Amino acid sequence: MKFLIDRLAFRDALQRVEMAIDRKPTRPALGGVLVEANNDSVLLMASDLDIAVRYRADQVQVDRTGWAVIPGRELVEIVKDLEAETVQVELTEDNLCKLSAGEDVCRLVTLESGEAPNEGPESFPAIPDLEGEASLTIDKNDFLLMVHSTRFATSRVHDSRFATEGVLIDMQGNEVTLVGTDGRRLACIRRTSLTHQEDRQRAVLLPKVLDQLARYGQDEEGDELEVFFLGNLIGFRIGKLQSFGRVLDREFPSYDNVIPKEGRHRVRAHRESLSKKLRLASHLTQDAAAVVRLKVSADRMEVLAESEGRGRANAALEVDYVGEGLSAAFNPAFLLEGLKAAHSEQVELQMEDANRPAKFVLGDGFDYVVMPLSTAN
Amino acid sequence: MKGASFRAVLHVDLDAFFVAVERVLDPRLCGRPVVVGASPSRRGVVAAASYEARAFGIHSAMPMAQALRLCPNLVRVSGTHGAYGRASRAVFDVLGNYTPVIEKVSVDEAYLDLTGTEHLFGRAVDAADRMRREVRERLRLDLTIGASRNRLVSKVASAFAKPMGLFDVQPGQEARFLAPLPVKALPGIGPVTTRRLHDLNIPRLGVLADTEGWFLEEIFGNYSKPMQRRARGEDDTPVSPPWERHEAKTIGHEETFAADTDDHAFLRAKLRAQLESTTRRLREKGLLARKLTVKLRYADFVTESRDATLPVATDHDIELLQPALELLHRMATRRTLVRLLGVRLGGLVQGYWQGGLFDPRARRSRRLVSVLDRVRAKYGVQAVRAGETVWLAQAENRRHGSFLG
Repeated sequence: MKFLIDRLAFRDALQRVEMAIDRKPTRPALGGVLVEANNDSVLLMASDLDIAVRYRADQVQVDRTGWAVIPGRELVEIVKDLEAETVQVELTEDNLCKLSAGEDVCRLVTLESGEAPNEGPESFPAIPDLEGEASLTIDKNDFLLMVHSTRFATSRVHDSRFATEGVLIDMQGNEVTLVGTDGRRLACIRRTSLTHQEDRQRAVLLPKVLDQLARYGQDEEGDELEVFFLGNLIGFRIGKLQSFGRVLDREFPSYDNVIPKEGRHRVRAHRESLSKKLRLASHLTQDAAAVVRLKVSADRMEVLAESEGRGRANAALEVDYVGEGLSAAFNPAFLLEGLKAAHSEQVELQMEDANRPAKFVLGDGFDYVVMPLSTAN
Repeated sequence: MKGASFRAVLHVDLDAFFVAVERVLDPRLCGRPVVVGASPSRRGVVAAASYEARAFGIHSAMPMAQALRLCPNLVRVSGTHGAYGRASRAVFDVLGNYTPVIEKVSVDEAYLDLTGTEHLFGRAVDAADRMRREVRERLRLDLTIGASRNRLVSKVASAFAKPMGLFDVQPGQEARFLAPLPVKALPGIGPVTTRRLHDLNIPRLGVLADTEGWFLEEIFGNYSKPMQRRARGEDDTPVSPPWERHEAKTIGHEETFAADTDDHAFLRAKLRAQLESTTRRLREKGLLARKLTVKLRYADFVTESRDATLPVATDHDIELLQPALELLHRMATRRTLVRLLGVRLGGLVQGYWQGGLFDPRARRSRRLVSVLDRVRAKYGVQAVRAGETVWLAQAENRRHGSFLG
């Protein structure tokens, strides 16, 4: 294997696979990057068994084909710090990977290497190549917005009953739905896909692959994102980037039932000013069990908070509301995170009563359901 | 004014409090060896012993059967807890006339800060003397008081003055007062530290105070500096009246069984009953707990405890039951009878309960709990019971019934 590559293109390509390099690999190959030089391109691959990334790097000139599994972290850092415009990558006779850039030369020990492109490495996990027709095609920006709208609501802890640390992708017909929940609040967003899909497909994905897409998807060429359902994996393709995520096999809670259809109380508020008032009041809440109370009367909302021994806050804003009034307590962090992800100027709160789930409409097709804090006592 | 810059702290201790109260109620007990506590057939322990009884080697927390063996003429009184509470309040009412800054440690022990009261009562030692006489005359109870400029020395001084004494350590004399005392006289130095200090040939506080700091640091680490400061009688902990004190950090309940048991259904039911009562206290205070501890003591006094941190703070016994049972299950591995079981809730925060979206059952049982609380507030704790604990009540009634004959 021997090729010449533009250093910045090489660096960018390595950054795209970096998230899939296992930081604490259970076997050496998982901490490596598979570099494969074909006739006209160089492929970079990495996998930590939860996610995998395959990226095709351009601006290369391949002299000799071949492949090598190279320690990932070192490769990424070295290419970042090289200074010349181009890097020459060469597999030497003693199975070292030699990186030369200007005056600087680094030799990295390879974990496995070969010359013939057909015989891939044995130790490296197989990463599929996404070809043919996708299960679904959707506007890239739409999808990235959906990720942004649901990712934050996922659970940070493992739940033995539900796979709430993941994001649910649910698609049927032209409709694609993403859902994130931690059991106490739930974000659900719907969009229309560019292609039609007959059978209903559902999968819960580890959010890591979505983070990877959110980080690098925007920079990739092309406006479309293709989704491939591959059994225990889901593959995504944007331009030259292919990312794969492991599907969680535990059950996802039935989200449809907990989204209130409509509420007796409907309050419309300006997103920015509601956020501001919530932040203001949350300065006077106790960290471990923060509570704000929303008190709504005709065209006015009060945001109340109290912290024992420190003081209390009473913020008010104008809202659109007609009714006999409403008072409910919430975790302010839940509300603030939701509002941060909102895409519309105006948000709407729909609620039946103070002890039942509250629905916030935070944008087109974007519902956010929050369980209020109990005031039964 | 001379001495005005010094603090004046008293440590007040009621002598053999439970026994003294019983003697007020029944003067025939005066002059005889008396203990307060449950009968040996109910595996009672000595809650308090008169000085006459202590002469026989009887001390509190000793099993009653052993106390009766040591002193066959011992008079045992079962005790009337209501009376102690009333007597204690009466004493504190008297003390409250001298200073509002009172930190009550227990029913029979308190710290008083008399700083700044010289204009009213003169020197602290004179005020202390008046307190003793006033309590003696009005309530027929004896106080022992230690006086100095800090809590630590006053506490040691009152122990030194017992019984029925008053001891005043003048400002500046703290180290000289402590120096000849054995190291174990200092609060905070337990049996283990005492033994290690003895091994180092440090039998008395004066020696401890004079020992080179680096030497102690080698052995006791960070603990050595505060220990030496305390051995010199230096302490600036304030006396904290209730309104300055923080809320309880944990809430718990534990129980020594009338008979040791290996009945898992019984332990399970007990655990549930204990969780019910502790979470009711949480709810009364508007607190939620993040941490759960289950404690188990076997018949051979081997004691174990395990704790778990909950994913969300709760004040709901049904949510705590499963984790508590798991802790008990993981811990109860020995094939030995169990003597004591207890639960403790910690990581307390003020707040509301956060319900989940996907378990409407939890929301319903939440409503149930609040209804149960109202029923119990009105008709008593026994008015409603969980199915699991009903037979527990029956079993206990039977046991007591047979005891009463």
